[in-house]
Amino acid sequence: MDFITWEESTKETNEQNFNKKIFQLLSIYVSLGNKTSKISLLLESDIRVLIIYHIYGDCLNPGSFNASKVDKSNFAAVMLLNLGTLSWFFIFIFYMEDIFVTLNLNTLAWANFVGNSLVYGFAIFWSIAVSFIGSRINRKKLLFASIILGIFSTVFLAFAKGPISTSIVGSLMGMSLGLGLPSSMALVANNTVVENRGRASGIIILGTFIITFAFMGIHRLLTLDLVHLIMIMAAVRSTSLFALVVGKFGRPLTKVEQKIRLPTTTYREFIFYLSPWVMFTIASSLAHSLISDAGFGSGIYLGESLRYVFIAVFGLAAGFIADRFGRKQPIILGLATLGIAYLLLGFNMNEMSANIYYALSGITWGLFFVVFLAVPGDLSTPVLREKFYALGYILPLTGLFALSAIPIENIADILPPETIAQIVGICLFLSMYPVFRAKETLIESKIQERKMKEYVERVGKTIQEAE
Amino acid sequence: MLVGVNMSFGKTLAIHSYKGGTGKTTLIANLAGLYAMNGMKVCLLDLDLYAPSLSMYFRKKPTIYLNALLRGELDKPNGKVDTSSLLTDVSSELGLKGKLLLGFSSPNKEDINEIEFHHDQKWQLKAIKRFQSFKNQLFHEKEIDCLLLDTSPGIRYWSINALAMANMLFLIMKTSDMDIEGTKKMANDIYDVLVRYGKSKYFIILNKVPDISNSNGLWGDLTELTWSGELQKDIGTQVVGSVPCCCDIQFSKHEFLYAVKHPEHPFSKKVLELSERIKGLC
Repeated sequence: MDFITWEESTKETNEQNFNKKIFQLLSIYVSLGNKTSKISLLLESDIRVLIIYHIYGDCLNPGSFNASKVDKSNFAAVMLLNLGTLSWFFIFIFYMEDIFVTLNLNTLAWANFVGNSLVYGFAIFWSIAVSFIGSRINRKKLLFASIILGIFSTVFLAFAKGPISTSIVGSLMGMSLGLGLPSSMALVANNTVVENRGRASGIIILGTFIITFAFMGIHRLLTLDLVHLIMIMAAVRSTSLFALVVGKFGRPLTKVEQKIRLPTTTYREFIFYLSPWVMFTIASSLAHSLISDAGFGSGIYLGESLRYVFIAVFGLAAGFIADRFGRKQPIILGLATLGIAYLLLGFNMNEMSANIYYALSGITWGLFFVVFLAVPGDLSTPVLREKFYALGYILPLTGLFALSAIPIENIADILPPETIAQIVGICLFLSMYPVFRAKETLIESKIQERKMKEYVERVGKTIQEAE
Repeated sequence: MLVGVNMSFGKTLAIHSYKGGTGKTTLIANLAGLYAMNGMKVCLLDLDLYAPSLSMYFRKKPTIYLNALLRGELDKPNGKVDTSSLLTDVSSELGLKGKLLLGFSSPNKEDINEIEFHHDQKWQLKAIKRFQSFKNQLFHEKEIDCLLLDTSPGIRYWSINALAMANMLFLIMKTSDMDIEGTKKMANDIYDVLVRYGKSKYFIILNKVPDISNSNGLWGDLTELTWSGELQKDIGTQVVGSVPCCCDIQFSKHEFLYAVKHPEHPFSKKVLELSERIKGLC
């Protein structure tokens, strides 16, 4: 046990009482593991004592501050909600440039700079806003607003023409994303326990990319026009509405949940985990720009397609790895894979290396998406969950936002693309360092518990065979 | 007197608990003593390898421990194990009508550390196979009627192994909330899985049960029977018996086979009753 920090909300609490509470709390937690409800009861009986908990290693981990029993229908609703939100997001991101170019009379510069910046900028702004006020608003209403805004803004795309209307629609889409994404992701954490969170995230990513890939396949095969593309996107977004019908997401936080604070070391841990995530996002978008500039055209089609397949497959695998061995392994594996892919680009940028890069980057994407859907939930408490998830994707979005403002051609004038690729490749390897320093968020006892469960099965089988 | 004392039930029984201090060793030693006193051939093995206590209970210092068996030091070329020096027969010194054979695990720090930290799952599975062979020899060559296993509390390799090797699992618990919650967890994590692999159903034994009539209102309107019924429903298995909390036994300097030596004591009567019920289940 590292430490326990605590505060008193009034000066009346005497030390003896506090010690007694701590003792009761620990005895209950040590013996019962995830029995959060018991703790809430204990604390609510004397709200003066506010216990701020965070004990690494064994029993008291913020990640275990979830419902000890997961409601299956709620969990299914959360899956549906996230599938709808994330599929819509990824499909939109994939086609964003093409849509903006079409709507703005082929002005590539506008699409690249203004359109991207508006979407990312509004998403970032509204994510920050929601992360501060989210816990005070009814989550269901917030999600409903986000989904409706997403559906309408997507449909409005079909009617937009010229920079002004496209800017408005782009801003609304960014707003929908910012309003909905942190809460949707936070609900994954609220409706899973730490030892199953990786797999739940893996299934969400698998589903998301199957939908995205299927959408792209249909689009390519049927050569859909812009209106059809937009209508299908709106349909994908509207699937999340079913989740709101089934799920019970409106539960306000209890007084105790609202007053829980995390020690500063948890934020440090989170930054350790965020560093490679940010590096990965920057590297991915830089590579995309470098490869686009190289003008391979349809020569990289195979790599691009493989990327989506790999995201889905390795996303699912990452979920199992993350729950079995911990969250750090998939991150390190992902960084190493992307680092190698980048070094390959740096060695010789041609069609083959670009194809290999895309395929390998798919592995990293799959691994990273899953881990970063699980880690903020592992580290945060219910009241801070939106903030952690918002931060988890605001930083990469800010990276993308910044990159959309950097004209890559100018950098390429100073440095050849291969050199940039080599530098980024090395940076990716270096960003493993904070991951090694970070503490594993899947606590050791959970890894051990799973091992033991599997061992019971093995022993049972062995004895049965021997008899 | 035990009902049907001459009947051989040829079973391996393991006694387990969620927490330490539930009275497993005292209860299993007394049960073994009672069965042997009534003419049965009983073998009691200390598989609480992480905190062995049977050698202390019987005040014995054997030259060879069960640890040597598990390490493979007693392996014979024909696939059997050399059991001659592993078991201590205490029947004559205790004046028992039947036979009581004891196998101890090592209380040495090095041996405990070795079993706790130095072995992987592969080693554990090999050790189980050795133990399985030893167990077969006990029934076929030593012709024992019943094998009793004292296990480590909680979920650890050698508590799981011992439970997997037994035909019947008895879970000792006290009446506190912690024990109930822990027991439920173990029922989900271990017992239900083992039952799937052909083990008999597991049963609960309540130990150190306080005198409810004298509980100063702590138990409210509950009687032991209603409480036990609720518990059965809650955990999903049968409560085969309860043994009262007796301060004179719990705090005696060295309780030793009380049920054998003082058959009139309420504790002894309850243990006798329990032993009959267990036989009835076999």
